[in-house]
Amino acid sequence: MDADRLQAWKDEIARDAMSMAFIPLVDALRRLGRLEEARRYALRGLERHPHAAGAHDALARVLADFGDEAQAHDEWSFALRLDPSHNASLRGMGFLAYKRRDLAAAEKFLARALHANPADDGLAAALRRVRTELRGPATPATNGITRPRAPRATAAEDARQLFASLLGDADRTALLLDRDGLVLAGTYVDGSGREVADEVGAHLGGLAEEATRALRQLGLGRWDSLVVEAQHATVALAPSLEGAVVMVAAARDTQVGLVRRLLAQARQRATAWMGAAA
Amino acid sequence: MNAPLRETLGTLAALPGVRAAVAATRSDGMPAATIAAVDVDADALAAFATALFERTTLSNEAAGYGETSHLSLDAEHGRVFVTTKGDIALIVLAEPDAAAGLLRVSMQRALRAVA
Repeated sequence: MDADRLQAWKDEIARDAMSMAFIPLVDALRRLGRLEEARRYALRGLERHPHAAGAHDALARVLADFGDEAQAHDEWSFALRLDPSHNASLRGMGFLAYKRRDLAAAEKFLARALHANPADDGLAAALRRVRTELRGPATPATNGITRPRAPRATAAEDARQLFASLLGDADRTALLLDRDGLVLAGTYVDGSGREVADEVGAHLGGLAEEATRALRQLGLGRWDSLVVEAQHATVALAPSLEGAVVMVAAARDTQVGLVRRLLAQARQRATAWMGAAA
Repeated sequence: MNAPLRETLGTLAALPGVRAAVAATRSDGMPAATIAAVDVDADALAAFATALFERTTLSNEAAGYGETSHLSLDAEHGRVFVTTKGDIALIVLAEPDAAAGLLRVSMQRALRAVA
């Protein structure tokens, strides 16, 4: 870091106590390992800007560098109360959650951060890593269906993880809904990491039957697949056994052909799973 | 049917494998203009396609995926495509082997022309 640049920020703060120059200054001091000095500037800045999310974030970073994760957590939490989409604070919370091995929380925060800043490749890579760890290593199961190793091998957890090994570490999700739109297996998370399977299912209940009826009337025979392109995702659906529907969603930049392929694999897996469960 | 809309639907209907091109009101599924083969029930097609589009739109909104722009459905004996802007929905019914990529681009172009 250029010493002149540091001095310029300090001079600006000396001239104007309300200047926001303390934020880059704190960051630069942290990187130089001058943590005490960074903390002084961060605290001074926060005194003058108690309602600025960036000020809380600046202090939180210094605290995290000091190893005071509880205080850092409080500062980032406060920043997110002020600005729920504050990217740096979402990343900070994700980082803390990852450090304490709360992978579900880490995924939630990082997904929200990526949603707010989709062009951040480093963030996307971090989220992929967390999701990979969250799903666990894939292992072949006795019935030929590959499943992730679950920490608790309950039937419910098996159902939630039904498609996990198919989806890989990219931003994809899959779900199996019964004829009424109730969730049978899989998970469906939105861009902020929120589980929305029930809400999605509520809108799609009866879709298979409705499509079958309408297509018969139009003389088009059975429906095979449905692909929907939205602003942030490509969603594909296919009928399964007993009026159920399989859904796969992938980030919008995923090739449609790949989404179709995933759908075919998810459908096959759902059919095997429903057959085994019957 | 106004002339630009007729021309737009005519262009879509002339594409290889297309059996019907319909412009409908998205909110109620009522056809505003249709060019279709005699054996196609355009009213039923418009009603079904817009209803399906609305359902998937609601589902995508619940998932936070933003605005839904295009839908394609593959069935045993045909393919249905829907693309919308505002309250206008363009719907195309095509043969199972119709080129989806060409239709998708043509529909988006057509929508820009009429919306």
